[in-house]
Amino acid sequence: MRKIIILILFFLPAILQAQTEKPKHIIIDVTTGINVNLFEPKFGNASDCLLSTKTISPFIKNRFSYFFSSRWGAFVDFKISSATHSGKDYSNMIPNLYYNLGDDFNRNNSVVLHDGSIGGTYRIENKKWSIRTRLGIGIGEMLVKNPDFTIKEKGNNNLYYIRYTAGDRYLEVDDLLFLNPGISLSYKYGHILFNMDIDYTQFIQKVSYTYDVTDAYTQEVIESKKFAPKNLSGNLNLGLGVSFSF
Amino acid sequence: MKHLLRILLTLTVFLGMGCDCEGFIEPEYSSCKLTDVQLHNMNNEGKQPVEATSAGIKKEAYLLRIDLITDSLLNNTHYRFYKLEDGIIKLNINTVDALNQDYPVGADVTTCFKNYPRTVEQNIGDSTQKGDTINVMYGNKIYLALRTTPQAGTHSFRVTLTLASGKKIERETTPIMLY
Repeated sequence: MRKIIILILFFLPAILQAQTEKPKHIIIDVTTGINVNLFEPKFGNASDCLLSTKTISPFIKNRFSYFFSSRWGAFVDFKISSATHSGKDYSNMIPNLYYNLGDDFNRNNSVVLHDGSIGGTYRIENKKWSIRTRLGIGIGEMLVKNPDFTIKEKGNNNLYYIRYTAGDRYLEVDDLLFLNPGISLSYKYGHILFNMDIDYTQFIQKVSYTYDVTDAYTQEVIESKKFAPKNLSGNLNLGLGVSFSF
Repeated sequence: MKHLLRILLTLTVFLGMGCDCEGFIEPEYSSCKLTDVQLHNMNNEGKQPVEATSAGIKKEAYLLRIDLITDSLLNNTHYRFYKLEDGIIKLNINTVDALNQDYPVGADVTTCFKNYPRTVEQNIGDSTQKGDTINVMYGNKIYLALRTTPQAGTHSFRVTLTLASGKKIERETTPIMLY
């Protein structure tokens, strides 16, 4: 699915060129800045830390815009950013009646996340300044944790394994759909534009988690349920960049 | 002809894979003899099992530890492993006192004990539960958790180890109060 979308994004300028007759105007943006994570995951229990990441992380983004009129255009962009788990305390995930005999929760890896989007853009400009607004839809990666715990019930021999799996996969990321409105304020210097870029990414899907409890003696799954955070994830990208127009 | 070529190609690949034996190094085994067996009542009420005291144990938290004493000092340093000359092919546990209404005095309660599925020091587990022989000694302790709730009272168990040669070693646990 993701590959198909990337292919469509790749060929979009050519498709648009075939459909329009007027002269084309291309802008290639390179932007770097900070990604502000606005997501405060709420699961309604103590496992909020499954999706908690550090608030600020760097990103770099490339955007290809094609204007098929003086105002209207389309764009495709690709972003890579870094994300690190926030390492919140998870002790509440183990009920008081149990001992935590071991887990892999403390591995707070930094992971490079990728996302890509496609959308429409509208531009207002004069000789020196340009404002471009846009709205896109895309697929982005979200950092997730798939921890497992070995727990022992206090006062008896019962042992269980607890496993949280995000998106039914054991990967550190989950792919989700998002909408991203954004605006760029640019100062024009010939064919070069110096930009201040603001983008907001609003995920429109939630990470689906599976929670399994297995009896350690028999390997029998004694409890299995699915859950998702109550709220949607979002983040703000603030960046500075340079563009080349043709 | 086409199929024959495919089969030959597949065989070549499989044979090639089979010849790559460098990845697996067979550990060096030294042989040892089982000289004694010691039984310990373990209290597993807390995070880790500890040796039981005369105060007794909660009946849901009883662990049986079987120490296999050999004529060699077992350690895993320098990738050296010990192998019993006369491996253990069967491990039986019988009650000395009635476990509960289902298991009277002398009953075979082997199936009521399960390998404690947790890494505990020197735990090698009872591989006879799966029909295997206990012989590789990367540790010398077997932790077995009692998974059938006994009736409250004093309990003792008789453990019988049957070796490959047919020799049997039998020991009884010190009576322990399970409440």
